[in-house]
Amino acid sequence: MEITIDIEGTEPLFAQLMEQIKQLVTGGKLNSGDALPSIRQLANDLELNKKTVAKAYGLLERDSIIQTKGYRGTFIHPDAKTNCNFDINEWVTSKLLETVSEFRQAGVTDSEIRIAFGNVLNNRIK
Amino acid sequence: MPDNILFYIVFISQIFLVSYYFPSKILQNFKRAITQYPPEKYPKLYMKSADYYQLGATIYRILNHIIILIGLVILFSIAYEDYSNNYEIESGFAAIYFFVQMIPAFLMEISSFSYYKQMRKANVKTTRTAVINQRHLFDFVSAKLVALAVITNVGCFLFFLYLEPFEINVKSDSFVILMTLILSNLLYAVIIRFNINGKKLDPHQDSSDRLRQTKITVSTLVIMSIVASVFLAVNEGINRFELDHLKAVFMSFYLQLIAAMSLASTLKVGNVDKINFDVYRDKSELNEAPDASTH
Repeated sequence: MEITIDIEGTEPLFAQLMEQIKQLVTGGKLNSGDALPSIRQLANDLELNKKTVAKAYGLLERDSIIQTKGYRGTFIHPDAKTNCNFDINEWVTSKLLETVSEFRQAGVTDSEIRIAFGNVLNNRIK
Repeated sequence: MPDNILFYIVFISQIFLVSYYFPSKILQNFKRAITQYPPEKYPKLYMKSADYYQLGATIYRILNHIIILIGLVILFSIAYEDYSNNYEIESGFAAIYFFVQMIPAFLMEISSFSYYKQMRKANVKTTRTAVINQRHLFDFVSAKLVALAVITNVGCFLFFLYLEPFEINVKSDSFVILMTLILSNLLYAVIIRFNINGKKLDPHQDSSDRLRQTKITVSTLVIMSIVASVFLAVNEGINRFELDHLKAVFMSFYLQLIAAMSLASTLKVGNVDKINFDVYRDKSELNEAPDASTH
Protein backbone atom coordinates (compact mmCIF):
# COMPACT_ATOMS: atom_id res chain seq x y z
CA MET A 1 0.00 0.00 0.00
CA GLU A 2 1.81 3.07 -1.25
CA ILE A 3 1.25 6.77 -1.53
CA THR A 4 2.80 8.88 -4.24
CA ILE A 5 3.33 12.62 -4.25
CA ASP A 6 4.49 14.87 -7.02
CA ILE A 7 6.90 17.51 -5.81
CA GLU A 8 6.22 19.61 -8.90
CA GLY A 9 2.46 19.22 -8.75
CA THR A 10 0.18 22.26 -8.46
CA GLU A 11 -1.33 21.08 -5.19
CA PRO A 12 0.69 21.73 -2.02
CA LEU A 13 2.58 18.67 -0.79
CA PHE A 14 0.75 18.48 2.55
CA ALA A 15 -2.59 18.60 0.68
CA GLN A 16 -1.48 15.77 -1.64
CA LEU A 17 -0.52 13.73 1.39
CA MET A 18 -3.88 14.37 3.10
CA GLU A 19 -5.79 13.55 -0.07
CA GLN A 20 -3.96 10.26 -0.61
CA ILE A 21 -4.52 9.10 2.96
CA LYS A 22 -8.22 10.01 2.70
CA GLN A 23 -8.45 8.05 -0.55
CA LEU A 24 -6.91 5.02 1.12
CA VAL A 25 -9.48 5.31 3.92
CA THR A 26 -12.49 5.74 1.63
CA GLY A 27 -11.15 2.95 -0.61
CA GLY A 28 -11.07 0.57 2.36
CA LYS A 29 -7.30 0.07 2.16
CA LEU A 30 -6.79 1.80 5.49
CA ASN A 31 -9.21 0.86 8.22
CA SER A 32 -10.02 2.07 11.70
CA GLY A 33 -7.10 1.36 14.05
CA ASP A 34 -4.50 0.82 11.30
CA ALA A 35 -1.13 2.28 12.19
CA LEU A 36 0.44 5.02 10.10
CA PRO A 37 4.19 5.64 9.85
CA SER A 38 5.70 8.22 12.17
CA ILE A 39 6.22 11.76 10.88
CA ARG A 40 9.98 11.18 10.75
CA GLN A 41 9.67 7.88 8.89
CA LEU A 42 7.24 9.21 6.29
CA ALA A 43 9.25 12.42 5.82
CA ASN A 44 12.41 10.39 5.22
CA ASP A 45 10.69 7.97 2.85
CA LEU A 46 9.15 10.75 0.78
CA GLU A 47 12.22 13.00 1.17
CA LEU A 48 10.04 15.79 2.51
CA ASN A 49 10.53 18.26 5.30
CA LYS A 50 9.20 16.90 8.61
CA LYS A 51 7.08 20.05 8.98
CA THR A 52 5.19 19.23 5.78
CA VAL A 53 4.25 15.78 7.04
CA ALA A 54 3.52 17.20 10.51
CA LYS A 55 1.14 19.75 8.96
CA ALA A 56 -0.68 17.04 6.99
CA TYR A 57 -0.98 14.85 10.09
CA GLY A 58 -2.11 17.83 12.18
CA LEU A 59 -4.90 18.67 9.75
CA LEU A 60 -5.95 15.03 9.42
CA GLU A 61 -6.15 14.82 13.18
CA ARG A 62 -8.19 18.02 13.33
CA ASP A 63 -10.60 16.44 10.81
CA SER A 64 -10.71 13.24 12.91
CA ILE A 65 -9.29 11.08 10.10
CA ILE A 66 -6.34 10.01 12.27
CA GLN A 67 -5.56 10.06 15.97
CA THR A 68 -2.24 10.25 17.74
CA LYS A 69 -1.77 8.06 20.79
CA GLY A 70 1.44 9.50 22.20
CA TYR A 71 4.47 7.22 21.99
CA ARG A 72 2.38 4.41 20.50
CA GLY A 73 2.09 6.32 17.25
CA THR A 74 -0.59 7.47 14.84
CA PHE A 75 -3.64 5.45 13.88
CA ILE A 76 -6.71 5.74 11.67
CA HIS A 77 -9.61 7.25 13.59
CA PRO A 78 -12.61 4.97 14.32
CA ASP A 79 -14.90 7.33 12.37
CA ALA A 80 -12.36 8.12 9.65
CA LYS A 81 -14.49 6.83 6.77
CA THR A 82 -17.44 9.05 7.71
CA ASN A 83 -15.24 12.04 8.43
CA CYS A 84 -13.49 11.74 5.06
CA ASN A 85 -16.73 12.90 3.42
CA PHE A 86 -16.84 16.01 5.57
CA ASP A 87 -15.04 18.89 3.94
CA ILE A 88 -14.24 21.48 6.56
CA ASN A 89 -13.64 24.20 3.99
CA GLU A 90 -17.08 23.66 2.48
CA TRP A 91 -18.58 23.87 5.97
CA VAL A 92 -16.75 27.13 6.70
CA THR A 93 -17.93 28.57 3.38
CA SER A 94 -21.57 27.61 3.96
CA LYS A 95 -21.51 29.02 7.54
CA LEU A 96 -20.00 32.25 6.33
CA LEU A 97 -22.59 32.52 3.56
CA GLU A 98 -25.41 32.16 6.11
CA THR A 99 -23.87 34.73 8.44
CA VAL A 100 -23.04 37.25 5.71
CA SER A 101 -26.59 36.92 4.29
CA GLU A 102 -28.01 37.67 7.75
CA PHE A 103 -25.81 40.76 8.09
CA ARG A 104 -26.79 42.07 4.67
CA GLN A 105 -30.47 41.54 5.43
CA ALA A 106 -29.94 43.60 8.59
CA GLY A 107 -28.47 46.40 6.45
CA VAL A 108 -24.84 46.00 7.41
CA THR A 109 -22.52 47.16 4.61
CA ASP A 110 -19.81 44.93 3.11
CA SER A 111 -17.00 47.17 4.40
CA GLU A 112 -18.49 47.08 7.93
CA ILE A 113 -18.60 43.27 7.65
CA ARG A 114 -14.95 43.16 6.48
CA ILE A 115 -13.77 45.44 9.33
CA ALA A 116 -15.65 43.42 11.96
CA PHE A 117 -14.34 40.14 10.47
CA GLY A 118 -10.78 41.44 10.54
CA ASN A 119 -11.13 42.63 14.15
CA VAL A 120 -12.47 39.26 15.29
CA LEU A 121 -9.79 37.31 13.40
CA ASN A 122 -7.02 39.45 14.85
CA ASN A 123 -8.48 39.11 18.36
CA ARG A 124 -9.04 42.84 18.68
CA ILE A 125 -12.53 42.12 20.06
CA LYS A 126 -12.77 39.51 22.84
CA MET B 1 54.12 -26.32 19.47
CA PRO B 2 50.62 -27.88 19.10
CA ASP B 3 49.22 -24.52 20.25
CA ASN B 4 51.16 -22.78 17.51
CA ILE B 5 49.94 -25.29 14.93
CA LEU B 6 46.36 -24.57 15.95
CA PHE B 7 47.01 -20.86 15.59
CA TYR B 8 48.62 -21.38 12.16
CA ILE B 9 45.58 -23.31 10.98
CA VAL B 10 43.17 -20.69 12.28
CA PHE B 11 45.27 -17.84 10.87
CA ILE B 12 45.44 -19.51 7.44
CA SER B 13 41.67 -19.79 7.64
CA GLN B 14 41.50 -16.07 8.46
CA ILE B 15 43.65 -15.22 5.43
CA PHE B 16 41.60 -17.46 3.13
CA LEU B 17 38.13 -16.55 4.36
CA VAL B 18 38.45 -12.81 4.70
CA SER B 19 40.80 -12.01 1.81
CA TYR B 20 40.01 -14.73 -0.71
CA TYR B 21 36.68 -16.52 -0.29
CA PHE B 22 34.33 -13.62 0.43
CA PRO B 23 36.00 -11.10 -1.89
CA SER B 24 35.82 -13.63 -4.76
CA LYS B 25 32.10 -14.12 -4.07
CA ILE B 26 31.60 -10.37 -4.08
CA LEU B 27 33.48 -10.06 -7.37
CA GLN B 28 31.43 -12.89 -8.93
CA ASN B 29 28.24 -11.11 -7.90
CA PHE B 30 29.52 -7.85 -9.35
CA LYS B 31 30.47 -9.54 -12.64
CA ARG B 32 27.00 -11.04 -12.96
CA ALA B 33 25.41 -7.67 -12.28
CA ILE B 34 27.48 -5.93 -14.99
CA THR B 35 26.80 -8.74 -17.50
CA GLN B 36 23.06 -9.21 -16.89
CA TYR B 37 22.22 -5.57 -16.29
CA PRO B 38 24.33 -3.54 -18.73
CA PRO B 39 24.30 0.28 -18.81
CA GLU B 40 22.49 0.41 -22.18
CA LYS B 41 19.40 -1.21 -20.66
CA TYR B 42 19.75 -0.07 -17.05
CA PRO B 43 21.09 3.48 -17.28
CA LYS B 44 19.95 4.50 -13.80
CA LEU B 45 22.25 1.89 -12.28
CA TYR B 46 25.42 3.42 -13.76
CA MET B 47 26.52 6.86 -12.64
CA LYS B 48 29.77 6.42 -14.58
CA SER B 49 30.88 4.08 -17.35
CA ALA B 50 30.93 0.32 -16.84
CA ASP B 51 34.72 0.46 -17.34
CA TYR B 52 35.02 2.69 -14.28
CA TYR B 53 33.30 0.09 -12.12
CA GLN B 54 35.36 -2.70 -13.72
CA LEU B 55 38.47 -0.77 -12.71
CA GLY B 56 37.15 -0.52 -9.16
CA ALA B 57 36.61 -4.28 -9.11
CA THR B 58 40.15 -4.86 -10.38
CA ILE B 59 41.60 -2.61 -7.69
CA TYR B 60 39.52 -4.46 -5.09
CA ARG B 61 40.85 -7.82 -6.34
CA ILE B 62 44.49 -6.66 -6.42
CA LEU B 63 44.23 -5.15 -2.93
CA ASN B 64 42.94 -8.44 -1.56
CA HIS B 65 45.71 -10.39 -3.27
CA ILE B 66 48.32 -8.06 -1.77
CA ILE B 67 46.72 -8.53 1.65
CA ILE B 68 46.85 -12.32 1.22
CA LEU B 69 50.59 -12.00 0.53
CA ILE B 70 51.01 -9.83 3.62
CA GLY B 71 49.15 -12.47 5.64
CA LEU B 72 51.46 -15.23 4.37
CA VAL B 73 54.51 -13.10 5.20
CA ILE B 74 53.17 -12.57 8.73
CA LEU B 75 52.50 -16.29 9.06
CA PHE B 76 55.98 -17.25 7.97
CA SER B 77 57.58 -14.60 10.18
CA ILE B 78 55.62 -15.88 13.21
CA ALA B 79 56.70 -19.45 12.38
CA TYR B 80 60.30 -18.36 11.82
CA GLU B 81 60.58 -16.22 14.95
CA ASP B 82 58.69 -18.72 17.11
CA TYR B 83 56.59 -16.61 19.47
CA SER B 84 55.39 -19.71 21.28
CA ASN B 85 56.17 -18.08 24.62
CA ASN B 86 54.44 -14.85 23.78
CA TYR B 87 50.86 -15.37 22.76
CA GLU B 88 50.14 -11.65 22.99
CA ILE B 89 52.23 -11.10 19.86
CA GLU B 90 50.34 -13.73 17.88
CA SER B 91 47.06 -12.29 19.11
CA GLY B 92 48.23 -8.80 18.18
CA PHE B 93 49.24 -9.93 14.70
CA ALA B 94 45.84 -11.51 14.15
CA ALA B 95 44.05 -8.33 15.23
CA ILE B 96 46.21 -5.89 13.29
CA TYR B 97 46.12 -8.07 10.18
CA PHE B 98 42.34 -8.22 10.46
CA PHE B 99 42.13 -4.44 10.28
CA VAL B 100 44.32 -4.51 7.18
CA GLN B 101 42.06 -7.20 5.69
CA MET B 102 39.00 -5.03 6.19
CA ILE B 103 40.49 -2.07 4.28
CA PRO B 104 39.03 -3.16 0.89
CA ALA B 105 35.60 -3.65 2.46
CA PHE B 106 35.85 -0.27 4.13
CA LEU B 107 36.83 1.39 0.83
CA MET B 108 33.94 -0.38 -0.89
CA GLU B 109 31.54 0.96 1.74
CA ILE B 110 32.84 4.52 1.37
CA SER B 111 32.54 4.34 -2.43
CA SER B 112 28.98 3.03 -2.12
CA PHE B 113 27.96 6.16 -0.17
CA SER B 114 29.46 8.29 -2.92
CA TYR B 115 27.69 6.16 -5.55
CA TYR B 116 24.28 6.59 -3.92
CA LYS B 117 24.87 10.31 -3.50
CA GLN B 118 25.52 10.58 -7.25
CA MET B 119 22.40 8.51 -7.87
CA ARG B 120 20.27 10.88 -5.78
CA LYS B 121 21.74 13.88 -7.55
CA ALA B 122 21.03 12.37 -10.99
CA ASN B 123 17.47 11.42 -10.06
CA VAL B 124 15.14 13.67 -12.04
CA LYS B 125 11.93 11.92 -11.03
CA THR B 126 9.43 14.39 -9.55
CA THR B 127 7.22 11.74 -7.93
CA ARG B 128 8.07 10.12 -4.63
CA THR B 129 6.54 6.98 -3.24
CA ALA B 130 6.34 5.58 0.27
CA VAL B 131 4.78 2.52 1.82
CA ILE B 132 2.16 3.64 4.30
CA ASN B 133 2.83 1.41 7.28
CA GLN B 134 4.83 1.67 10.47
CA ARG B 135 8.22 0.01 10.66
CA HIS B 136 9.28 -1.41 14.02
CA LEU B 137 12.40 -3.22 15.16
CA PHE B 138 10.51 -6.50 15.50
CA ASP B 139 9.36 -6.33 11.88
CA PHE B 140 12.99 -7.05 10.97
CA VAL B 141 14.37 -9.22 13.74
CA SER B 142 12.77 -11.71 16.09
CA ALA B 143 12.07 -10.66 19.66
CA LYS B 144 13.89 -13.80 20.84
CA LEU B 145 17.12 -12.72 19.14
CA VAL B 146 16.88 -9.24 20.63
CA ALA B 147 16.18 -10.77 24.04
CA LEU B 148 19.24 -13.00 23.61
CA ALA B 149 21.34 -9.93 22.76
CA VAL B 150 20.12 -8.19 25.90
CA ILE B 151 20.82 -11.29 28.02
CA THR B 152 24.35 -11.80 26.67
CA ASN B 153 25.25 -8.14 27.05
CA VAL B 154 23.86 -7.90 30.56
CA GLY B 155 25.53 -11.24 31.35
CA CYS B 156 28.86 -9.91 30.09
CA PHE B 157 28.43 -6.74 32.15
CA LEU B 158 27.64 -8.71 35.31
CA PHE B 159 30.54 -11.09 34.62
CA PHE B 160 32.98 -8.17 34.56
CA LEU B 161 31.43 -6.69 37.69
CA TYR B 162 31.82 -10.07 39.39
CA LEU B 163 35.49 -10.15 38.44
CA GLU B 164 36.18 -6.66 39.82
CA PRO B 165 34.40 -7.46 42.35
CA PHE B 166 31.28 -5.31 41.91
CA GLU B 167 33.32 -2.13 42.01
CA ILE B 168 33.78 0.07 39.00
CA ASN B 169 37.31 1.43 38.77
CA VAL B 170 37.57 3.85 35.85
CA LYS B 171 41.29 3.09 35.46
CA SER B 172 40.81 -0.65 35.08
CA ASP B 173 40.88 -2.60 31.83
CA SER B 174 37.45 -3.98 32.67
CA PHE B 175 35.99 -0.47 32.67
CA VAL B 176 37.50 0.23 29.27
CA ILE B 177 36.15 -3.04 27.93
CA LEU B 178 32.68 -2.35 29.29
CA MET B 179 32.66 1.16 27.86
CA THR B 180 33.70 -0.33 24.49
CA LEU B 181 30.81 -2.76 24.73
CA ILE B 182 28.33 0.00 25.56
CA LEU B 183 29.60 2.30 22.82
CA SER B 184 29.58 -0.43 20.18
CA ASN B 185 26.00 -1.35 21.10
CA LEU B 186 25.03 2.31 20.87
CA LEU B 187 26.62 2.45 17.42
CA TYR B 188 24.67 -0.65 16.37
CA ALA B 189 21.47 0.94 17.68
CA VAL B 190 22.10 4.11 15.66
CA ILE B 191 22.79 2.10 12.49
CA ILE B 192 19.66 -0.01 13.06
CA ARG B 193 17.56 3.10 13.64
CA PHE B 194 18.95 4.68 10.47
CA ASN B 195 18.19 1.56 8.45
CA ILE B 196 14.62 1.30 9.76
CA ASN B 197 13.55 4.95 9.74
CA GLY B 198 16.26 6.83 7.91
CA LYS B 199 16.38 8.20 4.39
CA LYS B 200 16.57 5.90 1.44
CA LEU B 201 20.12 5.94 0.09
CA ASP B 202 19.10 4.54 -3.31
CA PRO B 203 16.26 6.73 -4.65
CA HIS B 204 15.11 4.05 -7.10
CA GLN B 205 15.21 1.08 -4.74
CA ASP B 206 12.12 -1.10 -4.70
CA SER B 207 10.29 -1.07 -1.35
CA SER B 208 10.51 -4.87 -0.97
CA ASP B 209 14.28 -4.72 -1.62
CA ARG B 210 14.58 -2.04 1.04
CA LEU B 211 12.70 -4.19 3.54
CA ARG B 212 14.88 -7.19 2.72
CA GLN B 213 18.05 -5.13 3.07
CA THR B 214 16.89 -3.71 6.40
CA LYS B 215 16.05 -7.19 7.68
CA ILE B 216 19.49 -8.54 6.79
CA THR B 217 21.33 -5.54 8.25
CA VAL B 218 19.36 -5.44 11.50
CA SER B 219 19.64 -9.21 12.12
CA THR B 220 23.37 -9.13 11.41
CA LEU B 221 23.97 -6.26 13.84
CA VAL B 222 21.98 -7.92 16.61
CA ILE B 223 23.96 -11.15 16.12
CA MET B 224 27.22 -9.18 16.11
CA SER B 225 26.23 -7.64 19.44
CA ILE B 226 25.68 -11.13 20.89
CA VAL B 227 28.98 -12.40 19.50
CA ALA B 228 30.91 -9.33 20.76
CA SER B 229 29.61 -9.68 24.32
CA VAL B 230 30.34 -13.42 24.38
CA PHE B 231 33.82 -12.78 22.96
CA LEU B 232 34.67 -10.15 25.58
CA ALA B 233 33.53 -12.40 28.41
CA VAL B 234 35.37 -15.49 27.08
CA ASN B 235 38.49 -13.44 26.33
CA GLU B 236 38.54 -12.13 29.88
CA GLY B 237 38.01 -15.68 31.12
CA ILE B 238 41.04 -16.80 29.07
CA ASN B 239 43.11 -14.04 30.72
CA ARG B 240 41.92 -14.81 34.23
CA PHE B 241 42.22 -18.58 33.99
CA GLU B 242 45.66 -18.40 32.36
CA LEU B 243 44.69 -20.07 29.12
CA ASP B 244 46.97 -17.70 27.21
CA HIS B 245 47.86 -20.37 24.66
CA LEU B 246 44.30 -20.13 23.36
CA LYS B 247 44.19 -16.34 23.23
CA ALA B 248 45.51 -15.84 19.68
CA VAL B 249 43.44 -18.75 18.34
CA PHE B 250 40.29 -17.38 19.92
CA MET B 251 41.03 -13.84 18.73
CA SER B 252 41.54 -14.96 15.12
CA PHE B 253 38.42 -17.13 15.25
CA TYR B 254 36.32 -14.26 16.58
CA LEU B 255 37.63 -11.83 13.96
CA GLN B 256 36.86 -14.30 11.18
CA LEU B 257 33.34 -14.65 12.55
CA ILE B 258 32.84 -10.87 12.55
CA ALA B 259 34.22 -10.56 9.02
CA ALA B 260 32.14 -13.50 7.78
CA MET B 261 28.93 -12.02 9.19
CA SER B 262 29.67 -8.58 7.78
CA LEU B 263 30.73 -9.76 4.30
CA ALA B 264 27.98 -12.38 4.10
CA SER B 265 25.49 -9.64 4.90
CA THR B 266 26.93 -7.52 2.05
CA LEU B 267 26.59 -10.49 -0.30
CA LYS B 268 23.00 -11.20 0.72
CA VAL B 269 21.93 -7.57 0.31
CA GLY B 270 23.63 -7.32 -3.08
CA ASN B 271 22.48 -10.71 -4.39
CA VAL B 272 21.58 -10.00 -8.04
CA ASP B 273 19.03 -12.83 -8.05
CA LYS B 274 16.92 -11.11 -5.41
CA ILE B 275 17.04 -7.47 -6.48
CA ASN B 276 14.36 -5.89 -8.66
CA PHE B 277 16.44 -4.23 -11.38
CA ASP B 278 13.43 -2.94 -13.37
CA VAL B 279 13.54 0.22 -11.25
CA TYR B 280 16.87 1.13 -12.91
CA ARG B 281 15.54 0.95 -16.45
CA ASP B 282 14.52 3.92 -18.54
CA LYS B 283 10.75 4.47 -18.53
CA SER B 284 10.53 3.59 -22.24
CA GLU B 285 12.36 0.30 -21.65
CA LEU B 286 9.75 -0.80 -19.10
CA ASN B 287 7.28 -1.47 -21.90
CA GLU B 288 9.54 -4.20 -23.25
CA ALA B 289 9.39 -7.73 -21.85
CA PRO B 290 11.61 -7.95 -18.74
CA ASP B 291 14.82 -10.02 -18.72
CA ALA B 292 14.40 -13.57 -17.55
CA SER B 293 16.87 -12.86 -14.74
CA THR B 294 14.77 -10.16 -13.09
CA HIS B 295 11.89 -11.05 -10.78
